[in-house]
Formats: sequence, C-alpha cells, structure tokens
Amino acid sequence: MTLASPLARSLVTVGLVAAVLLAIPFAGSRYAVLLTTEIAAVLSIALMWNLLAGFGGIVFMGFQVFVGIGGYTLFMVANGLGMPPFPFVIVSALVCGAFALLITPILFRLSGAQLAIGSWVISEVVRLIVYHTAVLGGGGGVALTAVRGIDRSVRLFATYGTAAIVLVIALLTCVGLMRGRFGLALRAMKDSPIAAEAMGVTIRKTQTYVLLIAAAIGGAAGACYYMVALQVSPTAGFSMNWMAIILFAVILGGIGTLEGPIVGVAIYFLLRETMGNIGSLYFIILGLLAIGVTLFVPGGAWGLLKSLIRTDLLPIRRKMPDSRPVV
Amino acid sequence: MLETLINGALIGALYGLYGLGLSLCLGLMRQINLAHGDFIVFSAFLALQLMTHLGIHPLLTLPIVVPVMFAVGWLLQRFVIERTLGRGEMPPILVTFGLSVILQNVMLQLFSADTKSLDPGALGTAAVNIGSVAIGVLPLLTLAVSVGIFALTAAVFGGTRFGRAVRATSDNEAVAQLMGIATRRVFANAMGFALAISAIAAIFYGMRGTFDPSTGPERMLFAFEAVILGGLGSIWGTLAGGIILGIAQAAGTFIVPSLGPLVGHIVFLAGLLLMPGGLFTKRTRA
Amino acid sequence: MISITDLRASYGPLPVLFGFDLDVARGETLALIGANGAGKTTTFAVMTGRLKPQTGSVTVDGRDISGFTPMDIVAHGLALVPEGRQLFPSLTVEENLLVGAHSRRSGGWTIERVYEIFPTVAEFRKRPSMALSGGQQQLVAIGRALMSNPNVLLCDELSLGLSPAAVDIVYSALGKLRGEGLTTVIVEQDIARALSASDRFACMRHGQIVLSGASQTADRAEISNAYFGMR
Repeated sequence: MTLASPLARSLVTVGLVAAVLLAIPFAGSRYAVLLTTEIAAVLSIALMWNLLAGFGGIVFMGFQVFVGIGGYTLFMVANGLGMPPFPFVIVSALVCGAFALLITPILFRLSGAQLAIGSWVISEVVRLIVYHTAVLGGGGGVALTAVRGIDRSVRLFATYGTAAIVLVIALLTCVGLMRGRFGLALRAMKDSPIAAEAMGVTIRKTQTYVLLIAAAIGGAAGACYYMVALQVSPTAGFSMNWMAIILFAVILGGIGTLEGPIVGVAIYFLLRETMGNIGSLYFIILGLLAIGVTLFVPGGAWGLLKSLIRTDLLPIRRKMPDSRPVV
Repeated sequence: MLETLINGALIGALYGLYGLGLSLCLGLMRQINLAHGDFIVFSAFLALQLMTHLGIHPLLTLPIVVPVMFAVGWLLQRFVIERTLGRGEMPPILVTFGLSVILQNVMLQLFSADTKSLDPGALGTAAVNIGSVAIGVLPLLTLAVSVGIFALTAAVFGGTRFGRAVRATSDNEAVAQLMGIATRRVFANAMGFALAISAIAAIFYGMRGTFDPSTGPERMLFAFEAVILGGLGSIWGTLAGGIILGIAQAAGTFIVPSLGPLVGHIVFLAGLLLMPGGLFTKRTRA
Repeated sequence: MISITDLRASYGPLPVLFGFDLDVARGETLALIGANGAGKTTTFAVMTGRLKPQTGSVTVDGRDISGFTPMDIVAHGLALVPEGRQLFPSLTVEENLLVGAHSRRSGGWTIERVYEIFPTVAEFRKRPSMALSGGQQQLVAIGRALMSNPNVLLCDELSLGLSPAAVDIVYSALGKLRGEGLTTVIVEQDIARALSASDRFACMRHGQIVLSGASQTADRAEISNAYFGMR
C-alpha cells in the first residue's frame, strides 16, 4: 500500500489529471473538449466548496455568489476593454476574494446551519442587486461580446486551457493546503474549535484564509464556466442549482476527502449525459441518491472504493512518528 | 406611506408564522430543516387540491391539511431527521437540502410550474376603515390567527409537561431519557407541531399571494430572517422579527415595487451585524 | 433490594467490569468507592440502562433490569443524580424539578416537599438552573431525582467540583433523606465522606469488588490498600 511518500502519491494523481487534460484536445472531439471544459470548471468549484466545508467546517450554502460574481466580473472587464477574456479570470479571482473578505464580519456572526442559511441570504442580496442594476444587464444578463472576432477553434481551446489551468491550481491548492501546517490547523479547528483555540490557532483568521482562497478559485472557475456559456444572467449565475450540483457531487463522491469531489463530479456528469433529458425526474433521483448516500453510505462512492482498494490517492492524513496500537 | 407600512406589519405577522415552525426546529430542537419553505408550499398545494375536488373555501381545508402535515412532520422527524443526528452538522443540512430538491421537483411533476393561489372569495376583498386607512379583513385575520398561534405555542412549549420534555430533550437527551421521557417520540411530536403551524401559515400565504413549486426556498429565507432578527430561542421574538421584516419589505416596495425582498435581506444583514443575538436573546447552554 | 450478580460489561472492545456480585439491602445506603477507572460509573451506566452488560444481572426488587432502556428504568423506581449534576440549562429550577416528575410515578414526593427539605432551592425556583452555584445545583439534581418517587436513589460523585462547604451542605441534605426508607447507592471518590454517609461500603478496583463491609467499623488503612491495590 505504501509506495513512495504520501505527497508523491498526491502529485502523481494531480499529474494524472493534468495528463488527461493535456490529452483531450488532441484525442477528443470538439464536444469532448467542450464537455471537459465544463467538467473542469464544475470540479474546481466542487473542490473549493469541499475545502471550505469538508476540511474547514464552513458550510457555505450560498457558494454560487462567487460563481456569479466571477462570471460577471469577467464579462464586464473583458467587454469593457474589448479584449480576449481569457486572462481576466485572474480579475474574477481577485474580486471574489475581495468580496469574501467584505462579508466575513457579517458571516462570522453565525455558525453552523445558521451560517449556511446566512450565506444563502448574502447570495440572494447580490443576485437581486445585479437583477436591478441596468449597467450589469438587469434581468436579461450580459453576453460575452469580447469573444466576437475570435476564431471559434481558438476560443474553444483557449477556454479549455484556462479551465484546465484553474483546475490544476485548485487541485494543487487542496493538496498543498491540506498537507502544510495550515491544513492541520484547519482540521483541528473543525474537529474542536475549543481545542484548536487552545493550541494557539486563530480560528477566525484561518477560516478567513480558507474562505478567500475558496472564493477566489471558485470565482475563477465560474468565469471559465460562463466563458463557455457565452452568456451570464442573475438567474443562472446566482442560481441555487449550483449548490444542488455541488452538494450532489460532493455527497456522492464523499465529503471531506480530496478524491471525493473528483469521483462525485464524474458520477454527476455521467448521470447527466445518460439521463439528463427526463427533466424534474432526474432531480428527484439525484435528491434520493443524495439522501440515501448521506444516511447509509456516508463515505460516498470514494469511501466505498477506498475500502475496496485500501489506499488513498491523495493522502492527507499524517502518520504519527512512531505509531503502534496502544493495548 | 402609512398604509404601506401597516400592511407590511400585517404581512409580517405571516412571516412570523413562517418563522415559528422554523423557530421550533432551529431554536428549540436545535435542528435544521432546509426544506421548511417547501413544506409550506406543499401544504398550499394540498389545500388547493382539496379546494378543487371538494369545492370548499381555503379556510375549510385547515381541518384536513393541518393533521396531515402534523403526520408528515412526525414521520419526517422519526424516520429521516433522526438518522442524521449525532454525526456532526453536515448530514442534517445535506439530507434536508436533498428533501427540498425532491419536494420541489415532485410538486413540479404533479402540479406544473404555473403559479397558483387559494381563492379566499369575499374575504379577500373585504376591508375595514381604521382611522384614515383602509385595511383588509384578511390581513387582520392573519394577524389575529398568527398571534393566537404564537400564544398557543408559547403556552405549550413554555408551560406544559410536553413542552418541558421537548426542551429537556434538546438540552440533554441522555438525562432526559432518565426522567422517563420518550425522547424520540417527543421530538417527533414537536416536529409535527412545527409542520402543522407551517400548514396554517401556508393557507394564509396562498390566500394572500401566489405560489408555485419554486417559491419554497424564499419562504424559508424569510422564516429564517424572522427567527434570527427576533432572537433564536425566543418564541415571541420570531413574531417581532417577522413584523420587522414585513415592514422592511414594505418600505422596499415603496421605492421600487420589486425591491421588497432585497430591502428585507439588507435589513436582516444589518440587524445581524448590529445585534448579533437578535432582539430577544434567550437560550442558555451548559 | 438490589442484587447484582456476576456483572461483566465492556465499552466496545474495552472490558471494564470483570464479574462481581453486590447486594444492597432495602433502605440501606451503600457507598461504592474506588479510583478513577475502577468501574463505579460503569456500574451505574448498567444500572440505568445506558450500557448493556455482557453477562450477569441487576435485580431490583426481584426484577432484572439489566436489559431495560433508560426510560423504563425510572418507571421501575430507580432515579439517578448524574455526575456533574447535568441540570437542563434551558429550564428553570422549578421546571427541572417538574421534569423529574415526568414519569408520573405515584408516591409521597411532591414539589412542595422538595422545597420543604431544600429551602434554598425553593428560594431560587424561578431562576434559570445554571445561574445557581454548584452546591445548589446539586441539591436541585437530588430534588429532581426524588420527584420521580424512586425506591432506589443512585448518586454519582456528589462532591465532584464542589467546595468543601458546598459538599457539607449536600451531604447534610442527603442525611435528611436517610430516614425516608430509600435504598441509596452513592459513588464517591472522597472516602471519608463516603463512609460517614453510608451504612455499608464496597470498594472497586479494575472492575471488581475487592473489599466490602460496614462503614462504621471500616479500617481506613485496609481501604487504602484495597483502593490503590497495595498489599
């Protein structure tokens, strides 16, 4: 079971994902490239939500606010400057990070389930403000005019590339954070805030860092997603459907683990591609699956797989220096 | 302007009622139910079905809808929410969110996305003049019913053997059992009570406005805001919170007709920032 | 009244009680003493239905209660004063007492009687229970247990976390109950207190009873040896 060090195993997995991402444009059809772009964006978002919730203990039910802000920022900046939008995902990331910082005073008045709903309220506020702001396109939304004049193939692959880079950054961030001192602090904090506080970990500060990072990368991923869609609107960008997708993917995959979202997003898209056009029945099935998995298979699909294979692909648990079972 | 604000306060009484069910859930039982708003909408659809098939007035559906929703709440607690307890804060959130999605889509399948309402008949247009303002009879009735239910709830959970049992169970289940309290049954009854209250709120909701399968989540947000503004753990506080929310939203519609909910949300966030514990903080924990 | 026979119990894979017998006569007060981890609280856990024993039985008034749920325990006349008091924080003092009577067992204990023997409790009846001092909370906890009209009173670590003065008050209150005919088992780390408050004692070590006898004539040195396992 133990090959090289756990860190090496993690990087191997990230390398594998990167390799797949490199291969698709050469080996796959245009549709495959498009679909992978979408998957990459959704996976990045799921990984970031999972980082926040599963490791950080913050259940942010309004996470779509970063997706929407990311999308809108990209559109407004790129359209405004009349330039190809691809590099501006960085701006999306920065704006989302700033917004996250802005809301922390209010957000951290709450905890647990209340924080979850409170974050939802914040998302609603942004959605309604955008809806009523003519400059941002109001209810109709905005089209990505900045891509007009760019060759379709170039656009396709440039979007793909951007989304792929964001995904790799997301994965590396997760691996890096979880393994460093930061990661241990986060997990300690989640398991027992009182104990963590006693160990000198400043809870608020750590939570803020995680939120900033998750918001920034989530925003960048949102920007990528809407670069594909070419159109963003308040109803879509700030829709609760994002939470549904994130939650289903993360639950089905296995919450709190690093591999979980990867497996979960894969399952989600598999189901969607094979079942997607039976309308609301699809969501009912997803909902039942989510409840069933939460109640009866808490480890999710990855948990099941792990118990079969008995190994961690992206191991984040530290081994004690000399661990022997205490009789 | 005055009339708008008064009407805002009156609709706030309804928001308070949305919040009451959630207050029992969140404040008293310390449980989350993200499907709270969807159960309200579901109750309204149930009433609509009864009205259509039996040809009765919305208020006459209460004797049927309320017990049915009590049973739904009882079963929900006993067989779904129970199983999510004791494993951290995530499972209840996830499961009730899943329920929310299921409910919305089931209603969508059964009833379509069209907006509906419960026709109150003459009750909907009747009005009385108080001073210089004209106030609808239905809003006044809503206020009366709301206050009555709040009083009943406060009395039940504050002063009865059952109420004490619920509060004791939510404090310390193990010791509550040692008192002879059948903790799971007690919580199931409390949840039934919460959903029954929500059912009553639903009927008045349907009579005053329109609903469709997707309007549940927004009800839940209003309910939540009423609870937190009023102070978690205080039953009457939820009514106060609801009224404040109603007035805030009414003020919003005064500026721009569709801006109501937004102003309500902003007032909520401001309230959270300035008065984190809400108006009437109460709950003590060991 | 109480008859424990060959009691063995584990927490999961960890065995705690290794098979012992213990009898408590009707109306008697027995002190169960022993160091931390000796198995005293585990014994209470079995007696109050929190833990199922692997073998053995706990018979109270002829009835084997070892398989019962906590909710049935009180119906059969056992009441626990839990370690650390564990009053209900959301309830007032009076409400805590009233909850004690939830099981509606018949008997002589009413809230007025509790107020009579614990006047300081009466004074604070409307206050939130956690606003009281540790010693007063202990009195409320005892009162709450009495409200279920028990035949058997189990007191877990009454002196824990209390100042000596408070412990005096609590044990004098317990003394008032001696004449009531209750069968009482007190778990106590303070050996002196335990002996002065009881008729008989039993010393536990490693999940078994290593010494027992009458409290009045107990040899302190012998008890210390048994307690700490020194020969």
